[in-house]
Amino acid sequence: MDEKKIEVLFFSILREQAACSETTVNTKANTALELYGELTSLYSLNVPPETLLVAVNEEYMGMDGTIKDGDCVVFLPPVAGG
Amino acid sequence: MMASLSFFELTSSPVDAGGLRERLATPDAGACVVFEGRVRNHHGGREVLRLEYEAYPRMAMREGKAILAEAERDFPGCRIGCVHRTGKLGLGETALWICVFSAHREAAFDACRFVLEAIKLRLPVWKKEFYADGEAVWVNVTDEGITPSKSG
Repeated sequence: MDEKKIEVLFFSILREQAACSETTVNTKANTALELYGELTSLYSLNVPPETLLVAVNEEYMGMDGTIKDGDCVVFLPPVAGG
Repeated sequence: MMASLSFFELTSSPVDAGGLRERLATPDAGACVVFEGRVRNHHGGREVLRLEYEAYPRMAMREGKAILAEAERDFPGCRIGCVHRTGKLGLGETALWICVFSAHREAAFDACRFVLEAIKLRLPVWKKEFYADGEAVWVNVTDEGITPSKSG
C-alpha cells in the first residue's frame, strides 16, 4: 500500500479538540473512516464518527468513501447554520 | 439572456438588509419575501448571551451557490440573495438573511423557505452558543461523550 499525503482541515469542536485548524498527514488509510481513526489517536478527538459527515475536496461523501493522495479531507460535525 | 442577479455571501460584518435588498429589486417583481434569522437570548431554557459562527468558507460558498442555483431552477423567475454571518454576533443581530424577488408571491415564499431549509441542512457552518452560566456549547453536537468547553 502506498502512503498518501492528505490535507486535513478542522472546524468547530474538532478544531478545538485538535487545537489546530489544519494539518498534513501521511497515511495508508484507504477510507475517510480509517483516516479519522488515525486522527483520533493523534489528536485526542472524541467526536463519534457516526455523527460526522465528511467532505473530500469540498464535496460531501460517505465516511466509507475512498481517499487518494493529494485530497483535502474535512470531517464535518453536525452543521448549525441559520 | 440576462445574467442572474442572485448572490450568496459569507460575511463577518453586520448585514445591511436594505442595501442588499435593492441589489435584487427590478420593476417586474411584484413580490419580495425576506427571512431574517436573528440571535435570540434563549435556547433550551438557557439564557444565551452571544453566538459565534464558524464556516468552512470555500465549501460554504460552493454549497450556498449550489442551493441558490437549485432554487432558481425549481422556482423559475425568482431572484435570490442570501447572506450568512460568521464570527461573533450579539443578541438581535441578523445571522442569516434571505431575500427573494419574484413576479408573484407564491414562488417568492416557496423559494425563500426552500433556501432556508437547505441552508440549515447543508451549509457547512457551525454555531457556538455562550450562556449566562459561563458554559459554551457547539449546537447540534449532542453526544454525551463530548465535554462542552467553557467560555472563559
